[in-house]
Amino acid sequence: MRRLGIILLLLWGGHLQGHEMRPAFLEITEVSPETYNILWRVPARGEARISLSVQFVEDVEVVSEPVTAFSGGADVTRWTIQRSGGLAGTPLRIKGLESTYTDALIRVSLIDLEPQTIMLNPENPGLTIADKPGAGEVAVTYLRLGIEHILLGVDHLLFVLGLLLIVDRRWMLVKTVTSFTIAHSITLGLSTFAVIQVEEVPLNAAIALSILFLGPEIARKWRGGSSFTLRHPWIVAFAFGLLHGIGFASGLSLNGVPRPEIPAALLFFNIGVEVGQLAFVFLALAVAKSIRILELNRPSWVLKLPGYAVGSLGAFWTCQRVWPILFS
Amino acid sequence: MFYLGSQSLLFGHTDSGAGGFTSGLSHPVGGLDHILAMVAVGLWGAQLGSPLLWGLPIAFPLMMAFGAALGLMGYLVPGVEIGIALSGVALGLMVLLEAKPPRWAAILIVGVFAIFHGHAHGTELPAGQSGVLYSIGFVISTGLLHAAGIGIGTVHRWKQGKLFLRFAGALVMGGGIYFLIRALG
Amino acid sequence: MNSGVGPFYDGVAHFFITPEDILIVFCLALFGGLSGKQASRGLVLVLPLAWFIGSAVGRFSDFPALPVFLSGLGILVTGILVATAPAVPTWLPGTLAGVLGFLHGLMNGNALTQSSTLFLAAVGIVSSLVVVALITCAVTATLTQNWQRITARVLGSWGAAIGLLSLAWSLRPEGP
Repeated sequence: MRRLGIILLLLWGGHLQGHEMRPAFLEITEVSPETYNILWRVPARGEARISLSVQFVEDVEVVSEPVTAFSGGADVTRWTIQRSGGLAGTPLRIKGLESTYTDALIRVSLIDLEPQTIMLNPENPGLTIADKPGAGEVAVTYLRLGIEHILLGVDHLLFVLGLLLIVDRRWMLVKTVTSFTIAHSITLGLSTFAVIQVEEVPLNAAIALSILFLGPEIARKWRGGSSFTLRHPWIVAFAFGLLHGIGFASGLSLNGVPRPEIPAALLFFNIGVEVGQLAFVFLALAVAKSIRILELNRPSWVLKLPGYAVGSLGAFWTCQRVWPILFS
Repeated sequence: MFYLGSQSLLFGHTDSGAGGFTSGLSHPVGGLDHILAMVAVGLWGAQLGSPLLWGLPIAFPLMMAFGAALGLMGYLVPGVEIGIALSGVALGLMVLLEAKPPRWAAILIVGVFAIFHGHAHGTELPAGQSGVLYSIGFVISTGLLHAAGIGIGTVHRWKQGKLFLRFAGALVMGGGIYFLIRALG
Repeated sequence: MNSGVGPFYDGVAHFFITPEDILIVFCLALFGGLSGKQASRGLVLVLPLAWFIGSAVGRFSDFPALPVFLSGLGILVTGILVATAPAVPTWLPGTLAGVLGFLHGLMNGNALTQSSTLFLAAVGIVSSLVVVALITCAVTATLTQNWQRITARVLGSWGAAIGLLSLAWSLRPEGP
């Protein structure tokens, strides 16, 4: 058995270009007292690799050497370590994380303790393995992930904005936003448990189409016209909500969260998405109301800008996402 | 699916910055002598009624910031500890007597004492922290203490309430005397 | 999939973690709101424009870096204007917003030079401040009760106190 100062697993290769958003995943399982199985999954795309490595406390002994295999779009490495006194209370660091855009999900299962799940990010690449995991840690992690997911998901926000633009009565607005929420919660759950599986490329194209779909409806509303969508926006919101829910799942299902924790994680991820969405809705309504109060709506084209933004971005994304399906 | 990661700026800053904010926020609450005086300003304002009700809580933070500015710039204000203790005695006495001096006098009294309080905070400021965040926390905390005083002061409209306020004034004054003896001794 | 709006959020985040920027926008918006709807309209249009131009100037020209104390001074002046709520001509809030917005934009432009996509970051900053200014102006402009306006003025005095403190902070002998 070899004693190593620092275990460095360099998954070699250059940095990925742009923003790599699939989180890395580290699982530490205490199989027998003071002996741990390690599973380390780093997402890969084609030939590109992110250089990330796991760094334990110095006096850790390697029981079985790391073995790496490529599976499911990621490099998966497994090995076993030992430490007298156990890992609880020792620091852990993901080396290289600070120079990426990736998050890393860490799951630690110690004997006799509930597993703890923590999200590390480039600003916060290390943690101390807790003796007693904080009860709310999973909740907080997934709540944050959900809020981030919706606020950074420009296409979802644009769809919600489009809905706001075709609904003007308050009660109908509540009904529409609620049915969108219910619909995407359903499909978020179903696709997390892999009941539904949709390819990412056509899904994204369909989501873009749903935004494009709202463009003409907004224009119709300006002209005082009527349509099924304008009369029953909540039905349309429900139908497209099913689609967007599958989209939300992509931010969750790729994390490789262990099964027992999925319900809680799913719940809090969903709550996070709703919190972010409601914040966006209230902000948009507050801005609209402020513009009316200050009478800034004098040139009438100002009020039409958001509508044009929804329609033209929807069209642009649709082209951009349909093109590869048709011509590759 | 769009998914963008760019929280980098956000988290990098909050870590270092929050230190300044929370320490600014907690600083005025740190000493009982400060708390007593600030709550007393609120109580007195409530007794005096509009416009001093809000005039005093405007004057105090401003003059306190002025005092802190003097401290930061290195100008010495003599007898700061005594001044702070005296402020407790004087403001407590005003509340106890339900004194109603002319407006300018009330603002002058509060303003002068505020300089002592501010000066103490300005010189006690820990080095290496975010100046603006500290200032924000500091002013908000002071303002909230005034607000607490004004809140308690709303009992002024009832007869027993008036009595209660005077009693509270006596307490503040007692505290001030205690701190005065300590500052002198 | 990278939509390319990442730097936009960098800008949004930069605004909300820069207390000087939030404070000056908030105080200016209080000033505009207390001065009425017409003044607010001018302010809401001029502020982002000046800010954006300032960012561009700070980024692409050799405009000298301005001393830090100016931002504290700006907050102090605006805060005092809010606290005293004098009757001012309707063009004043907008003009003040133009000057101070340019100043803070300039500081942003200097600070964000590392970012290769400054344009989107600046758009993010300006969008955030428009939202804050718009809502604050609208809320303040609709305050009719006396005590509500007084609350706004008390907030202004707090702003002035913070401005004075950070002014002293940046001028203190040990340096900023």
